[in-house]
Formats: sequence, C-alpha cells, structure tokens
Amino acid sequence: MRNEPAIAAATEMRPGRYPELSALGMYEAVLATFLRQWSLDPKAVDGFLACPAGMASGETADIFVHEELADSLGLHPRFSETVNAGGASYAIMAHRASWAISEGLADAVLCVGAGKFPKVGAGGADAMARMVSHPDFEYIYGAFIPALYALAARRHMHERGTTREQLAAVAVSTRRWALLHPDALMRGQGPITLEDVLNSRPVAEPFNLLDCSVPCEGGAAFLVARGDIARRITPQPAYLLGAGEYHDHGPVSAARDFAAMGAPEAATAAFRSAGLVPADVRVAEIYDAFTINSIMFLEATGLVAPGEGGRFFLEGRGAPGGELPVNTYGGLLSFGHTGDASGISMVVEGALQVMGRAGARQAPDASVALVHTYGGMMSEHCTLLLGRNP
Amino acid sequence: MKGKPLPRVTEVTRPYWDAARAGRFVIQRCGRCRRFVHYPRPWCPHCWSTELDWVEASGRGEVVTYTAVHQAPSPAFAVGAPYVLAVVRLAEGPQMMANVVHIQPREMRVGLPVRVTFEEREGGFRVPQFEPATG
Repeated sequence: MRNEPAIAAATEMRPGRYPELSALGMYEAVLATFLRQWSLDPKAVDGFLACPAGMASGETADIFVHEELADSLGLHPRFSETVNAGGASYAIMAHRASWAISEGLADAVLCVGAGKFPKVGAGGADAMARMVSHPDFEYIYGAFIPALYALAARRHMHERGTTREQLAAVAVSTRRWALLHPDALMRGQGPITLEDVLNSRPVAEPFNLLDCSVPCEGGAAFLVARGDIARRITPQPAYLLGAGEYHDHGPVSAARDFAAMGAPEAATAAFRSAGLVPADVRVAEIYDAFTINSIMFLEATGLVAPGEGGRFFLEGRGAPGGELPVNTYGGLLSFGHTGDASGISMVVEGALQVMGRAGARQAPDASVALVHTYGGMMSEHCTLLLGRNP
Repeated sequence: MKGKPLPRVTEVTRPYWDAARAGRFVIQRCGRCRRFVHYPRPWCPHCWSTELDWVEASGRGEVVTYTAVHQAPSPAFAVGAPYVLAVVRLAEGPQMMANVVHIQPREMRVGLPVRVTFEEREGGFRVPQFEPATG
C-alpha cells in the first residue's frame, strides 16, 4: 500500500473484571495503559477511531466516543469517527486507517476499544440474546449466543466431518498458548485435556462449557502510522499488507453457508490486495468465540483445506511448537472475551507477533500474520494480513 | 414466572401473526419476480420491488442445522430444556428459525423433513413451530 501504513504501537489491558469502571472509564484505563507503554507525541497523531461504549454491558451505547476521547487526549484529528461492526470493528479500523494513510488523509491514526461482557447469569444471557438475534423471528424461540454458534458447528460437522473431539482439541490448543501469556485470564487454571472439555457441562450441543469463550472486561489500543513515522516509533512495525471485508447475513437464520459464513470472501479480498497466498502465512489470529470458529475460519481463509481444520487441531499443528501457530495469545477461549472490545485482541496479537514483541509465546517465524475477525453472529468479516516488510 | 417472549407486531409483520393466530402459516411472495420472502419486510430482497403479497405456504421444510439447548437463556425456556433450536429451509425456499417439537434431541438430524405446527403463547399469540413430518 502507498505510504506503507503499519501498526507502530499496540497494547492490550489485562482482561478481568473492573466493577469500579464505567464503560467510558474502561476506555480511559485502556488509553492510560497504552500511553504509559509508548512514548508518543500527541502532535503526530491526526486520526482517531473508537467503538461505541457500553453496548454489550447494556449501558446506553455511546456513539460520540471519538469526540469525547479525542478532546480528552488533546487531539484535533482530520480523520475520526466511532466505528461499529461488532467484533470486526477493530480489523475494520485498521483497514480504514490504512486507507486514510494511503490516501494522505491522515499520517497516524489511534484506534481504541474497551468493553465489558455482561455476566451470563443475572439476566446477562437473555439481554445478549435479545441483542444478537432477530427479536421477533429468532429470540422468541429461545435463541441465545452459544446456541446460535452451535448451529454453525452442527452444520460444519455434517458437511465436513468435523468431530466433537476435534472441537475439544481447539480448546486444548488455545489453552496451551494462554499458559504462555502473563495476562491471560485462564492462565492460572493450568492446562486442560480433551477429557476436561468433553466432561464439562453441556451448554448447547455440541458445545460444552469449555468450548465457550470466557466473558470478561478489557480493551486495547493500537496506532496505525505512515511507514516512516512507524519506523521512528519502533524498529520493526507490523506493515498492513492487505485487508478484505465482507458483510454477509443479518440474523444467523438467514446465513447462506453455515460452514463458512462470509469469511472466504473477506480473506480472498485480503490476499488479493496483499499479493500473497495462504501458504505465505506463518501465524494466525482468529476470532474464536467458540471452538468451532478456529476450525471454520482456518478453513475459510484457506490456511487449511475444507474439512481439515478439526484434524489440524487434533494433531496439535496450531499449538505451541506446531507448524502454524493459531491464537498465540490464548484466544477469546482462554485469554478472555472482553465484550465490545473482543475483536481488538487478535489485531493486537497479530501486530505484536510480527513486531517480535510476543515474549514467551513468540512464534519462531512471524514474517506474515493473518488476522480474521467477524462481528454479529458471524455476519461481517474482516481479514488483515500483517508483515515484517512493507 | 414470565412466559416465553412474544414478538413485537409491526405494520409489516401483522399479517403473519394474525394468520398464525388462525392456525395458518403464510409468507410473503414478490409480485414482480415471484420469489418467496421470509422474514417479512417491506421490499423484495431479490429485485427490490415493494409489491409483496401474503400467500399460504406449504408448511413443509427440512432441517438445515440444529442444536439442543441445555443452558437456557431465561427461566421461561429452562422449563423445557434441553429444547431443539433449528434452522428450517421451507419448501418455498426461505429459511427460518424455530424449535423442532415432538422429538427427542438425539433423534434430530440435518435434513429431517418437518412440517409446521403452532405453539400457544400468552395474549392469544400462536407461534409457528415445526415437528417431524412423518408420512
């Protein structure tokens, strides 16, 4: 891309529960964490993107977050808005920021997200169900989040022969990565086995509890900057080599392809814009609300052949030491699912891997990272390709 | 305990819910391209005609995918758990979500032929559901 847009800085706050913080307070905590880690000159930042605050937690969605935070940060950007495409918001921010930089509309765009996932008990599951399903044609049937994803899992199993054990293998692999991340929520729980997943309590078949991501609170920020600016901030930025989007169904019952959703279209566009092929990818960060997602989207992005995703995880090929590290930060499954902010985790981790800043979980070769995110019920997809060389 | 949720009835969806109250299953059909449309909306998603008619549907379909829900989202659904949540492709083409009733979860399968039935809810509402189409 023109002007070599790159992620020059990225920091994720430790996921957890922050009852003392409001939705906007979470944003302030995330930005303070980011500013402490990176010494940046506010005058160099002329773009700012944020997500609506307080959607998932049931506080009124604040859609002027970008105004409030930009002012608070002393920014007067020439490129700024509040962006929302659910979990895809943050890869889409990176995409939008890279266009803006490519077209000379901005030089450095700060992107931020913070979120709270409501507790599943105490009415949280019902409130979330109302938000993510069609209120009149899905919600009334007892639809809620794990059940809606289970529909995709069942169809994938039917079409492609994916097994219950293979789903469990995703949770096992992802937990192994989480044990290498000092901030991962489930790190203290230690490793898990296939049997642990298979014996955890049933939620919505084929999912048991350990097939589900862990609700929590958190967020992150990252800076996308013109190549020369990025290189002044850090010796090895993560260049945005390509990106692709595809906005598929609304309600999940309208999905045309339950085994892939809209992911292949987004990934194909990303590879085309980068001039790369799936075999170039060395590390993958895939939005994993449930175990099936890692399998579905590893296949849908072309990183493994259709029907091979389950076996890939069962054979440990995505785990530490495997041929293609997948969800190296521990995934939403074991790092934590931060509600509105969840989709930023894989963008941050993809960047940190490429930048060589991933510590104990650093992939041996992170020359090209694929990030795949989606929003809604696997409705809108955005794939990013990040690399060491522009 | 609060009963199962009720749909909001809008100008666009009223004919669907009125028909269901009378035990009839109707969906929209485009007056221009003649394709069937569901869920109800003010336009045809295939050709953008705004001329849609309500027609009696066969009530037949097959299961595209399903799950048995063990952990219900609310007490109203916990009573019947595990219950089957499914996506059904109607014989007319469109897909819809419903519960498949009168079947054990372990007997469910993708491709199962189903037919419409109705579930009574509060306020005289009847909600279309599906059951195995035997014979």
